[in-house]
Amino acid sequence: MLTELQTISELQELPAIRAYLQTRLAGMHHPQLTTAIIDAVLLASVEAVTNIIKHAYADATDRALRVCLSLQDDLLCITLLHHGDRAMPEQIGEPDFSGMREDGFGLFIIHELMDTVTYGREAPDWQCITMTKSLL
Amino acid sequence: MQFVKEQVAEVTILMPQITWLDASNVPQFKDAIQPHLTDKLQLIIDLTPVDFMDSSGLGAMLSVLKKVDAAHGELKLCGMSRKVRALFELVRMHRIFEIYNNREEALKSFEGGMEASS
Repeated sequence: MLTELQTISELQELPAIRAYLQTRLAGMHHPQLTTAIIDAVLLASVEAVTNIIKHAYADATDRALRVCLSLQDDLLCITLLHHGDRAMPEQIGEPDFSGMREDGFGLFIIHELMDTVTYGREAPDWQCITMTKSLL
Repeated sequence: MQFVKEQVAEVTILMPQITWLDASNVPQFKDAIQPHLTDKLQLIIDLTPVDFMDSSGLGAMLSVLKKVDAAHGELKLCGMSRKVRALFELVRMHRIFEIYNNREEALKSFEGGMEASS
């Protein structure tokens, strides 16, 4: 099963993206796709989309953003495609857990909630972030 | 963005009228709550209506906490959904905030809150 949403790099689109994923995930009817896993996938996806808009696109609006969701062989896969700057997660340090910093949690949350997170290219001009969650 | 405001003795309770708090509406949240942040404020934010929060929303809560602390006030949170609470625990912010199950427990935690709420 593969489904795709084509949208734009606008933070106001976040609720619509989340609603889209929630509807599609609820319709997958996989026995191991629990509410907790759906919640985790939705949060990780919102964090990743926000990072793309804020960092890869540097808050530029109206840029292309594709949200792809698939379930194959008990592996849930979310792929986010964009034309922005390549992500450099290796340059991001640990979050500040002291409460002094208000930001810097997004990447940590994504990696904590998903089983794998990879960054790459699809076709010459699409950057992609692929996040997977095993349903076994 | 609107808040339902309730005053119980010295304690102000604000309940945001939103079902999510993420990067799409955090600026509006910060703007809307700012006028309520007075000196020595004893504040409870009741998050009962908020079904979804991301790290931007959590950052907004940290912003409020810092402002309340700087003004010698106190902030307590209550009414978190299971998944909002899970977010706070994931990034260890349950150690930073005072979190209560509901506003009655939050009120009791304020000195004198018991008498005020009875």
